[in-house]
Amino acid sequence: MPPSQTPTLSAPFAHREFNGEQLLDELRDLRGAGVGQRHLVDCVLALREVTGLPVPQAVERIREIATYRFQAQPELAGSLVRWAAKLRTGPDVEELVEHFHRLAASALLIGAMGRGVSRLPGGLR
Amino acid sequence: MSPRAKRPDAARLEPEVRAGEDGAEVPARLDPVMTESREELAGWSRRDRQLFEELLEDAPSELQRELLRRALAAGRQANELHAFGDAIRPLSDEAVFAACTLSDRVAARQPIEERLQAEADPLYAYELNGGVITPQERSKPPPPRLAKDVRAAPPPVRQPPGRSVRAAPPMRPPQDLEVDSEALAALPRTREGLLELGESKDADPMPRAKPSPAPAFVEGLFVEGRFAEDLFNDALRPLGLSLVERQVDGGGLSLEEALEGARFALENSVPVPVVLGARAGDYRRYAILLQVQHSGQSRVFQLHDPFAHETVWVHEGDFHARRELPLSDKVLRQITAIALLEGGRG
Repeated sequence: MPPSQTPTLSAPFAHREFNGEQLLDELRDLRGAGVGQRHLVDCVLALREVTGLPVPQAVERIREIATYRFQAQPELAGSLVRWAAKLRTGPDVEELVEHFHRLAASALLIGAMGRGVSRLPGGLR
Repeated sequence: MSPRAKRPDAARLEPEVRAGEDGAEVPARLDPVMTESREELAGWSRRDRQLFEELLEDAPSELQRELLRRALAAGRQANELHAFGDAIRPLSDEAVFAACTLSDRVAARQPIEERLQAEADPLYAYELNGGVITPQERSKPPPPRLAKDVRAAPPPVRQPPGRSVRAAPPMRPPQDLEVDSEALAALPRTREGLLELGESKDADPMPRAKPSPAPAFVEGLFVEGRFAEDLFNDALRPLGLSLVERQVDGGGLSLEEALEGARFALENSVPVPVVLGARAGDYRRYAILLQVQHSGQSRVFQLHDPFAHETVWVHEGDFHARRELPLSDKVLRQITAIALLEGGRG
């Protein structure tokens, strides 16, 4: 009997730039489409209920969130649906939830940096 | 009121004639530095012009006056010039010349644009050499300086004759993500205005609680290393996160402790704001650590500079070395402050 394999991250979620360049590109696209910080925070809070769900239910729930919660933000809804379609394993689900958390936190922090840059003694030269 | 005493014989702000190299008098209008200075002064308030004149009068030597004029011609603001003047006033001519001329060691590490700018702007050279000025208030960032041909007026520092000096491009404000250029352009520069800064140009900005008072102010000064902690925490409150901003080295966290804290935050999906500078105590630019990856025993951090739109991977050893980061701005050599996770995930 073959040993049971621990599920691992699928390729899209294991990519080195998943939470790096790719995250920044997503953030730019969302900002360009008018998705605000509040929507990103709402998305993070909504996705928390997905944590721990089996993959099929997680995919279904994410699609529901995209359809019903973010109908007015098609870029964000599209992003959720696209990522949901790539989910294959349990760790993928956790990683996706974490990804959107990073996305929202990065947006919030970079926004705060823009407001706080003038406080640096050597800033904006 | 400035306590500076007037000295009638001191050099005036805008002399009509200056001595040339051969001793002959040169009309001011033929002196490019004076022309630049006049142009800069034309945009200043009468009070600022008067204070600058007093600053020149207080300068103990003609060399210091010349350096101040050149910094003015390079587009420095009144508050920067006063801080610069205060910093160099106690120095002898020999010491001030050395302080405002790039040392070979520093010059070797700078790209050519930085070296040229340092030759045109003594205040910039002073900072690259490790000098720190602390202007009390920045009225606004200096306007972008385009090519300035100063071939006819080589500065007293190492200026090869015939070289055309092009100032380094000004740091671009971010044009995407959340740090929008309009908000930056409208940034109030006074201490009173800091808490009134507007939101980003969100179509529907997040509802915020009343901004908490900036904890970093103590009798008009920032507590070392805590510049925007209140802004970070206001922003992150909906996610249930709280950060503590600390200086790194120079009496605060050690860099090693800071990186360990950063690793913990990043592994809990919380990006880490950092301040970069040339050395401990030098706070120049905000950047953000996005993620950390492990490679055997070592770690590599991904660093994003939202102002220069650069994203780089930095080996932990490069942070520890405090010598150079793989960013295009080579002045940014190390982490000088960091905002680390205080509470857990909400």
